[in-house]
Amino acid sequence: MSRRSNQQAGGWVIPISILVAMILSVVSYPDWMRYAVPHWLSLVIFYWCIAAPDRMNVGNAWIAGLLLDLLLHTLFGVHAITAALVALAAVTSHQRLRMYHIWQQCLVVFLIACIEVTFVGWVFYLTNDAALRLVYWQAALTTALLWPVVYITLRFARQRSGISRFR
Amino acid sequence: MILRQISAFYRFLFLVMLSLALMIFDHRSDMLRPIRSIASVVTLPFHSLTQLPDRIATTLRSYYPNDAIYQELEDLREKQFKLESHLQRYDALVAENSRLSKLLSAARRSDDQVILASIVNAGLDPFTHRIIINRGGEAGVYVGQPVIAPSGVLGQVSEVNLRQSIVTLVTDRSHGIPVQVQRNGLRTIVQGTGHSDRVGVPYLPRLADIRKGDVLVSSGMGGRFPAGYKVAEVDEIITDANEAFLSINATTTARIDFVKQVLLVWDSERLALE
Repeated sequence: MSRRSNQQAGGWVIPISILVAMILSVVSYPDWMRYAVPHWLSLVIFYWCIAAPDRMNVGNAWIAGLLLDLLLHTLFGVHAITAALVALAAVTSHQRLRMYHIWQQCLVVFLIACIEVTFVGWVFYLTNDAALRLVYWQAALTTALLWPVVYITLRFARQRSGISRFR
Repeated sequence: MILRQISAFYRFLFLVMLSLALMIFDHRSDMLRPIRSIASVVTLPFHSLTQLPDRIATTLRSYYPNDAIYQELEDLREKQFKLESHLQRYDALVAENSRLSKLLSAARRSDDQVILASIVNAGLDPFTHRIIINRGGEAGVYVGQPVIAPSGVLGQVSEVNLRQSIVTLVTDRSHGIPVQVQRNGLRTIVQGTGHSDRVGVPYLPRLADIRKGDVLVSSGMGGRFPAGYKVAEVDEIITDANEAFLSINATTTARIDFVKQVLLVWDSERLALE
């Protein structure tokens, strides 16, 4: 019975955090921040996959990524793949990741973000003739550095809304 | 537990395959375009939402008039006055020009028609140089339409949705624009580099008459961009004896950072055709 009430508690928190991540992704950043825009959606998906893998999974993440593609006018599926990848990495080892210190989690986020940048950059290289330059990986660094902030914010939101940790 | 991991992995594999198929399909065919076009009705408010802080700031500022605003008003009045006086000369020049053109029995060029559009998003992804503007198919925007700012050519429309369009800037790597040197009419092409505000002039031979500080204006070749709009200014010419071509760096005259509104241009000749 308690399980059932847990499933229904605070169901709006996850969609809203994803919505906020989407908005943050399309904000027009100043030109000097051009290469350092963090992957907001990945951070949010990463958090929920670790904290509540019963609510956020590969499929949900994929759909969120598809919506981001729509918003950013990239090819359908580019951000969907990366979002699903983030979700897979987090869901399959969420118990281990919870044990990690927050800076170790940062490192994991950094590695995943690097893979994301590489994949998206490669797609743009193939389709839009984009040059591959080292500055693109700045985004992975800012994403990793923002992880503690996102983590603390979302943990607060989760505790307030009554979503309990899954298993 | 293991079962859940396996199922997540297979779900992931399936979704990767689905995404790859989607990407290839989206890249190769136009069949997903209607979806984007209709979705723009939803995504535009989204983008507008990100403009909200800026808009609130502007509105708030307008409620508290201060010296800076009066100063700005004064400056604008002065500018308007100057521009109006210049415009008189312009009208005379247009008349003279059309008279001379008639003498040469050339096609008469009238003014290009324009509409104003706001930039909704000026940095979609770090890999390309594309912006979103708030005019789309409803306003008659078409793919390939030139987009200019008061300071020069910004780029061209590359994707039209119902209420918004995507503009590829001249700085995008995939963008080229035919230009000529304003000083002597030398024709060439300006190519985007993928760096903000920087473009290259790749195909000029070593003996070409081009100098630092030369202004490159659109030449009208190819019929896509109307002639005479500023594109870039040359700031560096590197001559390498081993290379057949000059290596020229130029800065775009229109800086995307400082532009909030753009003009969509309808070429008068194109209008005449329709």
